[in-house]
Order: sequence, then structure tokens, then C-alpha cells
Amino acid sequence: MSLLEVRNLRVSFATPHGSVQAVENFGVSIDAGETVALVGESGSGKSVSALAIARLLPTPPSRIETGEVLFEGRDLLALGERELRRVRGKELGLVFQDPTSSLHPLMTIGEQLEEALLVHERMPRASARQRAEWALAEVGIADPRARLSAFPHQLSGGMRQRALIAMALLTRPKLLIADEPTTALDVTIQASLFALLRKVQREHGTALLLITHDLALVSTFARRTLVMYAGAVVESGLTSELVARPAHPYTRALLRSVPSLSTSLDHALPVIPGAPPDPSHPALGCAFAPRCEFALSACHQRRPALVALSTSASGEAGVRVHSRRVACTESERTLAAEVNS
Amino acid sequence: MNTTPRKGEWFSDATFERVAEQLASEPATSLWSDVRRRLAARASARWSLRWLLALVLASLFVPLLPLPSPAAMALDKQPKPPVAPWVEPFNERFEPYYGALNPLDRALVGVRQQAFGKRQTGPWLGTDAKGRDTLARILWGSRTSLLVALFAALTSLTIGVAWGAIAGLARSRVDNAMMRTVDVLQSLPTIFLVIFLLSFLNAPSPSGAARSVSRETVFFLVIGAVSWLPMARVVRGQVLALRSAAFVESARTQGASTSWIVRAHLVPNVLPIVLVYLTLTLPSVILYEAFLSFLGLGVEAPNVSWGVLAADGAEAISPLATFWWLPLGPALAMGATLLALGLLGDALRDALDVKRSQA
Amino acid sequence: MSALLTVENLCVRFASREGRTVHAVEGVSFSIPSGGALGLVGESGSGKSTTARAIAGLQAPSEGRVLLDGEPFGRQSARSARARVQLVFQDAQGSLDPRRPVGWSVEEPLALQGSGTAKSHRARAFAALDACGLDPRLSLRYPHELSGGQRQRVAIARALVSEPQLVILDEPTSALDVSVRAQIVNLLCDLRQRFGLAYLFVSHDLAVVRRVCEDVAVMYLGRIVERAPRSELFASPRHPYTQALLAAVPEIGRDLALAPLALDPASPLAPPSGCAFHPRCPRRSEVPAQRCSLELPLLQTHGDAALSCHLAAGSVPPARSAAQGSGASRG
Repeated sequence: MSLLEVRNLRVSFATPHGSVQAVENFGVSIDAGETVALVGESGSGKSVSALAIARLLPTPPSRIETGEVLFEGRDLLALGERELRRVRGKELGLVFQDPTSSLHPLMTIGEQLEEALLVHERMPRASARQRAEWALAEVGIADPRARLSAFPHQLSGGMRQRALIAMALLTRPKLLIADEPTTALDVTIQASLFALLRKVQREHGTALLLITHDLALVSTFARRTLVMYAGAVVESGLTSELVARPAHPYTRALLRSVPSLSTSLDHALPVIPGAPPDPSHPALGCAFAPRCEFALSACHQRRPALVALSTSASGEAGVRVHSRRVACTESERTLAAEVNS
Repeated sequence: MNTTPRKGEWFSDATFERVAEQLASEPATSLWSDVRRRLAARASARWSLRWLLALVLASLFVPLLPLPSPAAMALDKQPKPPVAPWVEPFNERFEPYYGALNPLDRALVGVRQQAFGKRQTGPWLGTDAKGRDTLARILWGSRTSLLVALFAALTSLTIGVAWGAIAGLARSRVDNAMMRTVDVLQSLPTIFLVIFLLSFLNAPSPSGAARSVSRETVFFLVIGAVSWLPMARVVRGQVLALRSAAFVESARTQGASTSWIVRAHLVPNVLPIVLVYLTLTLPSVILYEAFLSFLGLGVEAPNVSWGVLAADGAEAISPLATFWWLPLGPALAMGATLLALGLLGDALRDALDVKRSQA
Repeated sequence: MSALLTVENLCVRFASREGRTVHAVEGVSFSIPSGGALGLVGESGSGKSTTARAIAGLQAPSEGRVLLDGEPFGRQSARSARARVQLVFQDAQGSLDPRRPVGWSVEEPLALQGSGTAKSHRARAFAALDACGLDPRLSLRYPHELSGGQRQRVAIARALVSEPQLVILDEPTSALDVSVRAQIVNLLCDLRQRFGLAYLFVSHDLAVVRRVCEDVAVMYLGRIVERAPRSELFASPRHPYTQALLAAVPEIGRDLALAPLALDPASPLAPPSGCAFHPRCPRRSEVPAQRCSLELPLLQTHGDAALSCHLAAGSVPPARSAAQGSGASRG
């Protein structure tokens, strides 16, 4: 059984001009200790999906129309507010992009760390303080005892984000959901934070759902990747295969348009023409078709479903085999052959 | 490599002059026409504007209307309850008794007498203990409230906006001095100030001269001293934020003068907030006037205001007979006006918010 | 070759709230030739943006000077001189007046210069929008009606309309989505070619800087620690900080060097003694006698490149390329 199994999630937002579909037919499964990445540009629905999984979307205006979020077999969408809070505080850790708004400005770091332990573990205050200090040391914060009595504004951005990760990991959650955890930070700090995450995952078997726009980061860190576009998953599979042989034209174009330190400078950077679609005016066919160089006339009329490519990718022994899936009319036919070869 | 275009010719192209002409001939969608459209689309804004407009017109032209004169007394024993307009639409008992009138009002009253003669409306809203017509007194009383509002609006828009803008643009020392002045004025206990000024200025002088300063003058002085303070704060905050906005900095790197920054960027960005804030200032000033008049510190007889009327009405309430129409009329009029200003401010805020304007 | 922009010993210091001095920029010198492009990279707090703002005249330098074509350039310069240097900000939303149609914002620099008619301003603004890949009819729209990429194009058109020689770009692509970022990067390269522009490109995104600029300067805590042509800098970075920075950039098909640096950067409020990088430097043990913590290394020029590191003085070989076996040198 997977640790997290999301099926058929569908989220809409009520706007003054009617309901807008934000996420459609979203599904993901994450095994214990596994790292899965959710990649997409802004408006692709990646953050909405993650927030919906943790049931942190404000309702209204958002509405989870259909779907199941099975966390260790329990459907989070069916839980009451109290049970949900217990799950969120204890078994599900959350880290967001902006550490400043995730930390209470008038409470010390120590108070905020201890709070989770006092509430969820009913720990005595002295041992909670001890645990909080360990947690800060674990995420590489120097002089953790002194930092416990610091207020968030007294820490640097990298340090705040680390404190937030420490807070998320304090109750030893089984799953950590990190939404653009390092986007606002420098690359050197990003690297050290990911080193930290990897260490925590190895030691505690924490699973990680990483939401990001950075394909390069994903390619080095996540075992499996889901690519989202306009509210739907367009391709998923093992990261190594997805990066080496992208099946969906969007994935392919996105991979090429990332500037890198090593590609040739002789040619202009390949770009995806146009801009992501406006979610309030959904296209009839494939959402990417207007920007797609391979689009056929059928692409504009029929929305392709996310289907498995004919052969599943080779799985390592003892690890569940996750097949490559792609939502593309063109790929269903031609690219399946390419993967086979 | 391409040859670089010559200086002054990078972007000159006849095709674009044509496009420019075409677009210039199209009706410009200015921000303000958008705002008007969005305001008109909102029912609460429409009704608020209608009410305020009707009130302004009625208070301006009240001498023209075939109403009883507000100070004409009929010494009945008891206040008369309201009589429905269809029961007694008009009577012929008009007596021109107004007290002191300014020339314009006197002329208007003259026109009224020419047009309607002795005809006047019946006591649709009843009369008070001295037989004065309540409707006429509410309408004449609205002039006080609107005058106070107008005065506060003018001081807010002139002193408040200028003070705040100068403080926001000035160096920190000037800014500090100006804002501490605002703090000091804001901390004055205005009620005590009014009482103090009244008793001080109106104390009989040794020579036995009559009162030198009317209560209205004192009242307007105090309103003038305090009503612009919040506006100065708000404008200063906005100007400070805008001054470091990227688009202002960008204009500065192009050598934009302060007057350009003010005209081109600050005014269009601050004005909406000023307007919205005005709709918050005016109700508080109208209430303040009513409050002081209620306490007997504001308008004096024979002038009327809603606060005076409410005070009269409150006095008239006795355990034996509640003359409910006496406080109800002015209370409803004031309530409706405050509500209209509030709703209008709400609608203005939404209509002026560019980010919400996708409608 | 005469330099278009020369920056000599630029220092910017602020007074912090506690009365201490923040050394945001210390002794920065470089020059950009006409039509050249220099990338200024570094972490947040390295002073790269402050340097750009000081050159643009938004921040008074505490020391040093800025020369444009040999003439002192700054706040007091005439409008005609100021028009030759333009600034593009990271936040295109903030750099356009929300209550003005974007066409008005593009015309504003022309209106400020005061030559030409309103009609000619409009035509030139339209042509500039067109050159930046936008339909001129968008000029009637308001900034909030445009997408992030469109807004950044408008901001670039506004910078170009007065035909500058130098454009200072402060993180112009950082707020954009991946697919839009590639479009803007290409646009910047095209415009430079077409109009012979010089760029000062401030960014933390090394891969984008590599695309746009031939020369790169790396800043750390207010000082330039290494400057080199991109072919050298990306293939064989010499300063340990540059090496760590390049190793930390995630790349498709390359393992991320996790935690190349042990510590966070120090605060510019209290820069470390000696070489500011020494507390984080993985190679300081290679320099004898604790020189790194005691003595500030000088920026020494070798041909096109410059380096400020005690390791270089002792002829320590450069580290192996961070982007191994790459085509980095081909640019």
C-alpha cells in the first residue's frame, strides 16, 4: 500500500465570473521514503493540488469537487476538522515558499517549535525545549540554543526556511509536502537545504512531495516526477527516464528551454511560444495544443487522457513499478514506439 | 552582425504613425470612465448617490419648496402627530417667519411666495411642542450637516492632502516636524476645547459688550483644526510608499522633476485613496456636529440642525406620551445619509481597485 | 578600446538602524565597452543590486565615481546623458504605474526629454513595443491586464525607447516562469545585437547570465572576488566561491553538489576580517599562516580576468571545471 494515494482529484474556484477549473483528474501515489516531484509553471495547478491534499485550501472560494486522498488508507477529504488537525500536525509536514509568512512574527522560534510538541505529543515543556534545540541543530543551524529565543526577523532567509523545515520535521512526519521551499533562496543555500532533506529522508524514511518549477532541481533530486500543465498532469514517470526521453511535447519543450551552464551558445534558447492558457477560458481540446509544434487538428478537438505508454519502465527490484504515463494524442501513437525501441 | 540603426531612428517608422493615429481616434478608455461604469453597475452605489444628490438639492433649494417656515410657531399645547399627505396635502396657513436670512435665501423665499402664496404642506411629519413643522425643520437642518461636511471636505482636501504630500516628499526632519504637529493636534480633547473656547470667548467683557464669537464659529474652528488630520496621515503614508515605487524611481533616473512625479504619478495614484477616505471622514464629522448640537454646544436657535432636532425630540419623550415622530425624523435622515456615504465609499473602493476591475 | 561605462572604486555604505555602518558595496571597479555585456552575479546581500542602483543614480555612492564615455555620470547629469543609461527592474508590475496605460509608461521617457511631438512619441513607443514582440495595440491596456512576460516586455520597451547605450538589468528574469524566461532571455540577446546595446546584467541565475553576457563578475559581501570572460569563468572558475556557486546550480543530467558550502554568508553588517569568504571557504587550509582571516586579498588582474584570492598568489591551479566537459567555452 502506498503512503499517499490521490485519485481523481478535481478542484474548482468560484470567481465573480463563474466557476474556474483549477485542477482536473489529478492522481499521485507516494511510497514511504520516496521523493516525488510535481513540476509546472505558475497557474499549472501544482500548488493547488498540494494544498488540496493537505486540505489547506480555503473553501470557499475553492471547492474539491471529486477525489480521494488516501493517507495510510484514510481518506483525508472525509476526516473531521479535529482528526485532520491531528494528522496535519503529526504525520504530515508542510513547508512553503515564503518562510516569513509561515512563521509568527511575535513568537520566538523556540516557542513556535515547542508548540507542536506541546499540542500533539503532550510533552513536558522542558523536554520539548530540548527536542526543539535538537531539531534546530539537525537542520544545520549553528548555536541552536541561542536561536531558540530569536524572533523570525532576526534570522536570515535561509535560516528561517531551515527553522521551518525543522518545525515540519519535529513530529517525525511520514510525509513532507514542500511547496517551492527554496525558490526565494540562493543556490548555495538551496543546495545545503536539499542535502539536509536527503539526510532526513535517509534517517527517518520520510517521503517527500516536492512542488517546484525548477526542472533541473527535480532532475537531480526526485525519483519520480509529474509534469502539470493547465491544471492537469500531462506526463509522469521515473525522473531519469522522463528527463532522458520526454514523451509529452510540453515536457520536451520545457526541458529544452531551461538555460544551463553547459549547453551550446551558438543558437538561441529554444522557447515555447505563447503563454499558458487562461483557466477561465478552457480549451476544448488539449490545453497545450495552441503552443505545440506537433499539434494535429484532432488535438484541438479532443482532450487526451493520461494513459500508460505501452511498456512500463523497468523497475528496480523490490520497488513498485510505476509506468510512464502521458496525456498526448500524438504521443499515444508515435512516442510509445520510441520508448519501446 | 546587423548594422546598428542610426541614432534617433531606432523606432521611427511610418507604419507605426498610422497605427498611432488609428488608435488615437478610438475612444480612450480612461480609468475614470471605467470607474463610473463600475459604480453605475452597483445598485447600492446608485441609490447612495441618488439620496445624497437629492439631499444636497433639497437643502440648497429648501426656501423654494412649499413648506411651512421652520420657525413659524403655533403655540398648541401638544406636538401634533404626523398627518398622511393624502389626508391633508396642503393648507393655506403659510406665514413667512424665517429669522435672519442671507440675501440669496431671501430672494428664494420671495420666489416661493410668488409661486405658492399662502399654500404650504400639511404636517406630514408632525409638529413639535411649539407647533413648528418637523419636515421643514429636518430639511432646513440638513443644511447644517452638509455645510459641516463641505467644510471638513475642503479642509481635508486642501490642508490635509497638501500637508501629507509635503511631509511625504520632504526630508525626514521636515517630515518629522510636520507629523508631530499632526500628533499634537490629534491629541487635543476636542470636546473640552469647544467648551473652553465657548466659555472663554463668550465671557462678558468688563465693558459689557455682547458676545463676540458665535458658537458656530467656534465649532467650525475646531472642525477645521482636526478634520484634516487623518487625511494628512493617509496621504503621507501613500506618498512615502509611492516615492520608492519602482515606477517612480524609474522616472527619476530619467531626470523627472518632483513636480512631474507629483503630477504624473502621485496624483493619479493617491486621488482614489483620498476619495475613499473622504467618505470615511464625512460621516464622522456629521456625527460629531450632531453630537455637539445634541449637547447644546453646537448650533443655536433659531438655526436648526439634526442634532438640535434629536435633542428636542429626546426632551419631548415623557412617560405619558412618546412623541416618537420628533426624534425619528432626524434620526432616519441622518442614518440614511451616513449609510449612503458608507456604501458609496465601499463601492468607490472596489471601483477604483484596478486589480479587481476585470468585470 | 575605450570603455562606455567605467566604475572606479565604488563604495556604498548605509547607516543601519542601530547606528552601525552597512558596507553594501566596497571598492568595486569595472568597465564595460560599448556594446559589451557584463554579468554581475552573487548571493543576496552581495551588493550586486546596490551596485546597479548606484550606477543608475538611484543611490548616492559614498566613494568612488562612475564615468560614462569618460564623463562623470550620476544624479546631477543632464537629462540627455541620463537617457543614455536605462534601468529594467525585476518586478515589472512595480516598474509600471498601475494607473497609467502601458503605452503611456513607454512614452514617459520621451516626454521627459521634451523633444518631439506627442504623436511622434506615440509612434516611437509603438515601434519599441513592436521591437519587443508586443502588439502596439496593447498600449491601451493597464499593467494588471497583462501577463508577467508581457509586462517585462513593456518594461524593456520603455527602457529602449530613448535609444540608450547602456541598459542596466536588475534580475529581469527572476520573477518569470520557465517558458517565459527563455523568451525574455532570447529577446535581450536579440535586442543587444540589433541596437548595439551594452548591458550590465545583475542576476543570481548563472545560466541566464552565461546566455546573455560575455563577461562575468562575481560579487561576495560587497566586493568583486572574480571577474573573467564567460568562456573562462564557467569552464575553469578560479575563486573557491565561484566554484561553490557553480557547483550549487542544479543542472539536468548532473548530480547536484549538495552542500558545497558549510555555512550561511555573513551579514554585511559585520563582514569577517581578512577575506570575507574565509569562514565558508573549503580551501582556506591550503593557504598558510591563517592569511585568509587576517589579510584582505587584492583584486589582481591577469589579462581579461581578475581574481581576489590568496590561493592565486601562491600559484594554486584552478579547480576542475564545474560544468565538466561542457560546451561552456564555445560561447
